[in-house]
Amino acid sequence: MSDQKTIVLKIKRRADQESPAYWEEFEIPYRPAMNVISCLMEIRKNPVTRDGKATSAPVWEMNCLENVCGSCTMLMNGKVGQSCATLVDNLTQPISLEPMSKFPTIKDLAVDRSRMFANLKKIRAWIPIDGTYDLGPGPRIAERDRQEAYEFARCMTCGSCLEACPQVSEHSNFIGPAAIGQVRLFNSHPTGAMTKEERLEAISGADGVTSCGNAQNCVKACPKQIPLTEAIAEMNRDVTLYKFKQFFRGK
Amino acid sequence: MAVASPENKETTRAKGRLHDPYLWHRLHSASGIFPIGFFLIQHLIANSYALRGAGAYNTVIRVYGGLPFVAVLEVVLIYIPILYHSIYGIWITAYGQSNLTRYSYGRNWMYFMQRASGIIAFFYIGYHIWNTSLQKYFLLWQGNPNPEQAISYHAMALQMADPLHFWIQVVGIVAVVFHFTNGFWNFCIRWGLTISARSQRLNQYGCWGLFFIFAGMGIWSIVHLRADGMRAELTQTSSAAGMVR
Repeated sequence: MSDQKTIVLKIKRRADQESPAYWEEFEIPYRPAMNVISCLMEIRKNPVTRDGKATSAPVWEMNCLENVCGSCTMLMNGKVGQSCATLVDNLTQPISLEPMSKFPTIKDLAVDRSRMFANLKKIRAWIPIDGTYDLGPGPRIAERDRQEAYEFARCMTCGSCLEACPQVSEHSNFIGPAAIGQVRLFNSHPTGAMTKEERLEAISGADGVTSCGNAQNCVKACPKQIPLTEAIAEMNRDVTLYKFKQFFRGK
Repeated sequence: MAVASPENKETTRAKGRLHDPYLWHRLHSASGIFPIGFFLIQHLIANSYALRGAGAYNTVIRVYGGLPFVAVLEVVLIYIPILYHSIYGIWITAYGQSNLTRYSYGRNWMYFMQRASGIIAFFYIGYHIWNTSLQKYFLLWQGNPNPEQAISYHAMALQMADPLHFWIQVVGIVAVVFHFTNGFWNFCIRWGLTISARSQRLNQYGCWGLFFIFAGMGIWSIVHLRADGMRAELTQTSSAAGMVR
């Protein structure tokens, strides 16, 4: 056993948002090409800490296991990322695992990202196509616009950009880069553009695009390389023009 | 199980224009360029007349000091905008939560430096205004026959001879100019002028260029003043020594 390679993990645990947090250390045998989730699964098989104390299995969220759902997002060695797509070989040991700090903890590594989904509702992140009669086909989308839109369509609401953002904290309810990127996406759709003022209005408050501090961590943290900072600059322009128009033209 | 989701308590519908946070934030951003940024450039250019000697410098002081409605211009174009920009800026800083230790990216450093330089600039400007403008009014109020003496070439040169004062000026100039040039970069994004990542990157190089030009200009001027001030101090002490002898 002594000459066998092992992986040491430190997991920050917490019964819920109100309970005190504590760390537990685990040691599991090394297998090549392991990712962080496979370590957690290994621990779950036999939840005994490094010093031999039996404990409960750590709780975390996972779903797709191929980096497209965003549910397994957590802090690994202090940095935000998807635990399904983060390889043990790329992390220095002991590997620390923490829940994201900008969302309420449900238990251990699982967090409640409802805030992000509420924000998607707030910015009306959909294209209204329902009517009491057949509205007919919508306008065509230029191929160039479609390609640009696709980049923003890859957002999986994982929360990495909010986690890395210095402007998102308990003192501020900044809706964050992800939602602003979605305004950019739905406003660039020819049918979505028909209700673009509603979305611009939704991001024109104190919690909206104006709360961005241009630290540009979001674009670095985004696992999908979504050009969030470009969306923020563009929405800055659009909201300002919308405000001017609203003031001078009324409505 | 689900923790109560913090639905945004605030309705974004403006509660009347004056309560519109967007307006106040834009005003903060705009005031940094006009009038404050314009004034800063004008101020650095005017002060660089020190390089042309006492005559040129004192003429510039007389011209600006003799502007019609100078007190109104000072209050409306300088004091009120700077006070508003500072107070709003401190409020913005208080709401942020810097995370440099986890994400030490270049722009994140700039985010931190923008706030740090703003705080330094706030205290420096307070010191600077007392030292130059307010002291004149203070002397006037005290019935000093020549209140302008507080801000002549000679007075500035002698002040710069004090190393503490000189280094406060250096730190102040660097902080203020950095805050302005990096603030200009922020401004270009905040108003949607530079949208693409490429334009933002190129603008960053441009802003660094502006930083070195304006900071260099300010520091060169005060280095010149300090050299003259130290010479004047030397002649003063040697002539005093002569009298004693």
